[in-house]
Amino acid sequence: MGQTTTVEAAALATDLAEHAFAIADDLRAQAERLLRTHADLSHLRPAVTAALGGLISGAGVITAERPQRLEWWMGADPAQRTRLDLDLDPASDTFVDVGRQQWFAVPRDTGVRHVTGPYVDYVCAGQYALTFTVPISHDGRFGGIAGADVFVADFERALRPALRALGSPAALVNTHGRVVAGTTAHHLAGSLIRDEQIRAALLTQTPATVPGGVTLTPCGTLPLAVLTW
Amino acid sequence: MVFAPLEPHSRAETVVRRLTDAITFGLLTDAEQLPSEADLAAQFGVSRVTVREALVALRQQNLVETRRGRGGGSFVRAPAARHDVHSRLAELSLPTLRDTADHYAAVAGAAARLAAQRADADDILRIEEVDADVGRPLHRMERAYHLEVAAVAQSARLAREEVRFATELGTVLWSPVLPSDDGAYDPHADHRAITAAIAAGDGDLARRLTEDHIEKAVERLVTLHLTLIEQ
Repeated sequence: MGQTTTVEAAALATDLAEHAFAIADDLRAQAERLLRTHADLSHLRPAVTAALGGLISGAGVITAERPQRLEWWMGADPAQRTRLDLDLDPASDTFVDVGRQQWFAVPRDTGVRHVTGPYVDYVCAGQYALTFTVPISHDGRFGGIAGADVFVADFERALRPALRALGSPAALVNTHGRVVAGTTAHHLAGSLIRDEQIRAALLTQTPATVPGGVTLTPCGTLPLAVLTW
Repeated sequence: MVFAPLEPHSRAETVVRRLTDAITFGLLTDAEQLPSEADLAAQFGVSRVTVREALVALRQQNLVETRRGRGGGSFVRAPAARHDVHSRLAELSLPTLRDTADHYAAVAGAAARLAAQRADADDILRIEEVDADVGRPLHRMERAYHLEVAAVAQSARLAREEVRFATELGTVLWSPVLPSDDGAYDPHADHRAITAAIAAGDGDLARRLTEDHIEKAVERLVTLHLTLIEQ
């Protein structure tokens, strides 16, 4: 119990997130090859659909050039698989400005991978989700993103035993203090940690004990941490 | 699935629904000439092919008549028994509208209250950014604003409901065609007040302001109905 298990819970959360990133990165590598040869993105389809299932509820690639091309599929269950078809017409009521979505804009602007969420993914699956995206490079420039979605409910279910085993109230939160999974009614998915000292500690992403007895265990280099009270 | 991608033909359905609503609600009157295909396409933000497809459907429903040649174009054919339509509106549509609007106010109000509990500084910026985009038609701006509030509330269900209401009610409720006796009617000012309450963490105020905001829009619509019925 105690420190060891907190580290284990953080390690499990890290493994789950890195699994999603590994899928995103594999799709990135394939997309970069296709872009180099000017091949059609639909060649990615077998790899994208093979990535779905288990924790992964959505995956695919969206390019940066206009008109944007996408090969993104949703549905862990093969029987309910649908291809994402975003409305990219700026004059339409249901227009989706991909460039303003965090999962696209952050990898584009920073050049590095990004965890979006937990957030309400109202442009795609309409679910409460985490989206793991990596930038695609094309001709030395930003060529789009590759990514994978995990529903928060599934992430929580996978992490729950490890959090429960800690014995004290615990939560996995992102660096903004948003709870991904928690073991008390006060810290359920979606709630926000408002304590300023905890919020400040989360931004540093180093192991810490915050005054008040809250311990913080970062999840590797990911923008996630396990808090225990 | 609410969030299933829009097929091009469902955009035509949206155009059909909006024009059908406008004719049914009397916003477009009998024999009134519709704007040209190109103008309709521009106003609805769809292609001319989509507009053409919608007009075919409206002709099949006898709601629109297209005449060729000089003085030609597409004209509204309001249902012949105008009084029947109006009395039907009086008996059926207003209570239905009230019930729908009550449901919508409950959803949007609850979203605002939860957003006040759960928003951080970045979330407030996102809501403000949506509201700052003033170039859009009113119903599109309202849809984007309330959807963003539901997202900030961290509620996928409320966000799905917002999308449903935007489709079902939004284009009529926030129609720019609706007359406003009250010169003070300013949706952006309403939004700024709601956003400020969310930023201040005052959930009760955010909810009340959101409910008031919707109530005002419903009043505009009901007043129009009653005016039409009395004609």
